[in-house]
Amino acid sequence: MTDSRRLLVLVCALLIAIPGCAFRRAVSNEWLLEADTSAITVGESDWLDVMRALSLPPPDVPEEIGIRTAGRDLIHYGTWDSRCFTVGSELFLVVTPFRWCSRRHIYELAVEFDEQGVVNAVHETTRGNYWPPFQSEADVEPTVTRGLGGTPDP
Amino acid sequence: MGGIRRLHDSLGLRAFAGFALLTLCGLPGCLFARGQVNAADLPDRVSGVVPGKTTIAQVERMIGGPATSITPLGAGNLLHVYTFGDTKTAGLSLIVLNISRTNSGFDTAFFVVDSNDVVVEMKVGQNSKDLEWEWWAFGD
Repeated sequence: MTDSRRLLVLVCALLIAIPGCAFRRAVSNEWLLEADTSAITVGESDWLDVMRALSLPPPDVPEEIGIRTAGRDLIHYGTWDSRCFTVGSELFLVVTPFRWCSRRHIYELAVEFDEQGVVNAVHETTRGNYWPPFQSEADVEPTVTRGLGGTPDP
Repeated sequence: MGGIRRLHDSLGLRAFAGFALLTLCGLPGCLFARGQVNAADLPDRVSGVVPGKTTIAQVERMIGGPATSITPLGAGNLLHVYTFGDTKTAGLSLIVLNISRTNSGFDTAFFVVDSNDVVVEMKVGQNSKDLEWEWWAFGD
């Protein structure tokens, strides 16, 4: 084997062995963070008013499209955040053995209806997300739930 | 190959190996990926719907198919719901470091249809329309 070929083999072997790392983030339905809920009032708005203001709850991921339906008693909206750190380049490895992920709803909006279809509570929940293994649950702001549209805070 | 051999001859084996590694590790690659869910152009397709005049059969022809879900509302009215969306991924892809971000937006469009199959009310979501291409994964 010539020096050039040896070198080529060496470079290829090193490239495969180099533990590449990746930071991957996926956010879905971020628009909800700025959605206007001022038109939804407890005791006055009905489910059609909610749908006029926010439309129906969109699914989090494409796989869920077509199987989630809006119930008469509760409509739930969510913003989903996924943060993954992997070691081992996915360009070369079929399975990346070192993978840390944190997937969670960073924002949720739940609208409850009474038996007449009138809104009787609106709650929003915000929670932080983090990059494992560099951060942990202790590094994010605490989860907060509050009432909207005349709903008292829990 | 001749150029590489000349570079190899002039630099020497070790220097050439170091140069090749640095070049390969530092080569910046860009990543763009796009995914559309159902009829992502649904807002444009139904722009001609006139509540009180357009029938649900005409809406189905405009969109190209029936709704994702149909729910009875009482008094003979039906709620037809379509879902659609867009997904955009951008990233910086190096050999040793990859950073990417995927933004997804999913929308719904609903049509309230009366007992005569006429659309009496509609709303089409616009939240997936102007999704941003973002590659920086950190921050808010």
